[in-house]
Amino acid sequence: MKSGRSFPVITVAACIIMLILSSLVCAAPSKKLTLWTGYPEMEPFFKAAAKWYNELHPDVTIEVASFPLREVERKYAVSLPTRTGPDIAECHLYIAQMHIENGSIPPNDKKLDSFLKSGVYNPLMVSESTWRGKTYGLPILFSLDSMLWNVAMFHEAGFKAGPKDWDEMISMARKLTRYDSAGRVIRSGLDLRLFGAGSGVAAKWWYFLKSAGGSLFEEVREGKYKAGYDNEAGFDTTKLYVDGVHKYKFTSHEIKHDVEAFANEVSAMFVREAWVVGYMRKNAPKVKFDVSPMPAYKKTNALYFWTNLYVTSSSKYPDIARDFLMFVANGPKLKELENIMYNEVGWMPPRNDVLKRHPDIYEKIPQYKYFSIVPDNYELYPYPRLSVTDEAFTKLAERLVKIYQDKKFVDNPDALRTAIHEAANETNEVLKEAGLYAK
Amino acid sequence: MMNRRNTRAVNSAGVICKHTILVVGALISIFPFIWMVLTAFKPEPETLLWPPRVLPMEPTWQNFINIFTRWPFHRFFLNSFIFAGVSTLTILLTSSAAGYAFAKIRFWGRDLLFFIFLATMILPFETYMIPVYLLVNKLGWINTYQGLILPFVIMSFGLFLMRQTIQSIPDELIDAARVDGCSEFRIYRDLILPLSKGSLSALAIYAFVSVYGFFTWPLVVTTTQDMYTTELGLAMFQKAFFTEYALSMAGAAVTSLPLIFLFLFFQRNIITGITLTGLKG
Amino acid sequence: MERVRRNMRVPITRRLVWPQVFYCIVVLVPVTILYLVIRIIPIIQTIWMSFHKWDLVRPLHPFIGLDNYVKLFNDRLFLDALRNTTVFAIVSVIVTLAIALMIALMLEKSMKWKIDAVYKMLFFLPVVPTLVPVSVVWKWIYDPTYGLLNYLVGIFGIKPQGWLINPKLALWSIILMSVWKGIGYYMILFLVGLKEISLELYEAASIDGAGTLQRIRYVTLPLLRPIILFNLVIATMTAYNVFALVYVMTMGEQGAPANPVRVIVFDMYENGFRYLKMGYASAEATILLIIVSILTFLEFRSVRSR
Repeated sequence: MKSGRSFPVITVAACIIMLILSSLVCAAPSKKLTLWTGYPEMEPFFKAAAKWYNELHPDVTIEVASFPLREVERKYAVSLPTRTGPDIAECHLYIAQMHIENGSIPPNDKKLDSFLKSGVYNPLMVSESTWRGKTYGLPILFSLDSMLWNVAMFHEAGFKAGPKDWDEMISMARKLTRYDSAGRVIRSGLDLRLFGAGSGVAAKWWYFLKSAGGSLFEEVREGKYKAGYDNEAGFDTTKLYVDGVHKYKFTSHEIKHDVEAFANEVSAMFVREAWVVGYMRKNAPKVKFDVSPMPAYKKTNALYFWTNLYVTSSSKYPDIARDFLMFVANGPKLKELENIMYNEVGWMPPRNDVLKRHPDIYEKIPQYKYFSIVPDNYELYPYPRLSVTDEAFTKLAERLVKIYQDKKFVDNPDALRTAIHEAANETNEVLKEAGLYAK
Repeated sequence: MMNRRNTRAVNSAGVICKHTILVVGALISIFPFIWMVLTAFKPEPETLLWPPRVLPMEPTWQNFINIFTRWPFHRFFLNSFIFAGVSTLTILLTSSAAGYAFAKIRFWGRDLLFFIFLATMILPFETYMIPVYLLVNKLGWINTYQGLILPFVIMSFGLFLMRQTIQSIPDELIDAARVDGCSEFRIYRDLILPLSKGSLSALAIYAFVSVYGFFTWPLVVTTTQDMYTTELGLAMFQKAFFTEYALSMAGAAVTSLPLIFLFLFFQRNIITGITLTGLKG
Repeated sequence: MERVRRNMRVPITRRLVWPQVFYCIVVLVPVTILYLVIRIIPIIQTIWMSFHKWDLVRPLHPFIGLDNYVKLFNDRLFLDALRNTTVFAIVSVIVTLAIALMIALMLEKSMKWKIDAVYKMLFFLPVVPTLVPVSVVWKWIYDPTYGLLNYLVGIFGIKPQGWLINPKLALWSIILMSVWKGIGYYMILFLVGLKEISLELYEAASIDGAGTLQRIRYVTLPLLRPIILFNLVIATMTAYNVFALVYVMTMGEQGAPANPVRVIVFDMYENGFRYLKMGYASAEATILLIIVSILTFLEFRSVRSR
């Protein structure tokens, strides 16, 4: 900008250069499809699938983009309704639900539909992927929620296996906790999610709620719901957290949480999904840990968590996109793709005949066992699928964070019941807003 | 100056006290950067030492190499520079050309129009991002440089700054040029632009830095990794490798150093730019 | 064309003549179109949407009058956001400006020293880098287990804190970071104001036997009033619009929980982009528009009244 005179010329020139550059970037090969995922750890899987698919169909390139979960949900929200989304979307069923309802995600064609129902998937996956008689998407990854525990810490405390029920869980947690001279927790006996952005806090609380016999939404009659935790189950679950922080002090706000804490050996046990195995192999290979099923309370059950891969209405090549889905689910490279999931990603491949192809997987990586199979007496439940799930969870999460913080709820059942009642009212409001509420 | 009346002892005690406060303040103000750069040179295990150590014991370049090999940060830089660079040039052009019209040409409704333009400044972009997104979508510009740049080709603050600057250019100069038969475009190019060079360069840097730092717009409008800006790239990078502190720090250092160098280089311009806006409020 | 106009020597700047009209058309028409398309129309659309039930994923957008606004003022989260934003604005503005003014006063007196330029540069440095890298660094400084801040307060015997994750501290931690990032900018503006105050006034004050503090109290501050007011209102406006800062600090597992630091634009972004209620979010945007407009109006008045 030394000479002011040439500056308009520079600007115009720059604009032209930019246009050329951008046209270079956008100059797509013959057929370019995009795939988005909210799980960055799945990138190697999808990239390999895209590469192998391209080897079979050289005229098709599939571009994989991963975003943090919260961002990808927002990107779907702005792009799918306006038909500017990806050709293929990986997402939670409750996120997909609102896009299904407004036509941004079309139903499966015959081939996908019959494959989904062919018996290679858990019946729960099939029924939950169905809406008004039509099926949507194919499962791409799954995991049970189970208890992970640190082997060295357990041995040190004289324990051999994970907790079977809540009483055992609490007493073990208290023994496993370590304090410093000032009485502060320096190692959580049981790491509970006490804070954090978005819906996570409530989702984690909800696993325990389900064991206690409650639910987020309770179906009152066909298609109408109300909050399902304004009861003893909600009370017991919240009490577990409040007591854990303020009474038994087996975890605290001033310590690391979640997988990071587990990897740094500042927590002895916590509840999570299979991807932690992949994470630990990469980030903390020296930490020995094992996995056991979700501790039981009033009910013996566990969350069956999975996400689907969908072809969207944004796609210019829906047939190719569907073909790619079939390639991932049942293609010639199925075994290799499943290997990537086991060895690099950590999420479980969703087909229930995987053991035929990987008979020794539980010997090789024993921790995977309780993320994919549970004892027979366990009841499986899916993630809530209503389109308002995320909003209800997020708003509930914020209330829970506040409750966990407050000492006044210790041994004060009335105050705690009132707080839960208020939270449930808010959930009901959310339902009402969406026209899904009934008393 | 006036302190000469006071005794020398009091004076020097005051000076020492003042400089102590200033040095401590300055240290606090730059410490996060020093910490960032030093951590970026630490091997990963050293970041988890307690008590934390300031200097790396075994300094390494590895983190910097890792960032560029694990993620295409060079591509993010290219995108960011195109995004911020082209936006800046167009902002300079629109602000100065329209600023001249608003400052020196009288026409009906001028002040009202200027006021309306200026008034758009008070709402943050996020509040009306959706309609803009729908427009960019209609143009088919999602995930393109045009789409990225479009919302930032004008800047009310720049318009304001340029109008203020051009207003201070004496009317006589412009009139003389008009009498000599110069067209308005020539006046703009040969008189106004050279005379407002100071403000232009201040605005250039201000615009560059603020566009470079936009986060939410690139987040919604880019759909593939090869269109990420460094801001977006770093946010996603940190999300993916959040427990690798040294690596995150190296990422932060790499993405913020270009702006810091830019600042050190054009320090005076930046400060003049702020000065200009402050003075004429 | 130029040559024709040459004959008309009389009209100068005062009256509109053809070349100027031509210039205005060529320059202002495109600029006005740009303003319309990417600023004014979207803003009007936002206000218009605020009177509708406008879900991003639903095709029908029925008109519902003021319902969104009524709901907003019964929405605990929005009221929290309003309160947090106000706390954030008041505290961060006062602290930032007070420190910036103090530093400016210290730097102003000995301009002859080269070292002052270095100070200025060091204090200004935090203004420069963008928010994402800054947030990476600060999240780690605030880290409950390995964070530097816990180490530093530990020296003074204070127990380690979860600076960002403790809901009682999170907003204050974010305010601290925003103060750190903002001081340099306002310091420069104050220095400009200080330069304007004539030396004679100081000399006069010192002849009257005023000490440094008295001089600041009775000479500097009153004369600095316009710039203080200007800074005050600009800073308050910026603080009410705060978003990216909060967004990046709540991002990721190390981030702050959202509610204790929820600010208006954040709540709006969440309603709009997470729950897809664009109408509701637009109503929030409109309220913000009203608040900021009032602040701007006050600014114009305060600056003019001088």
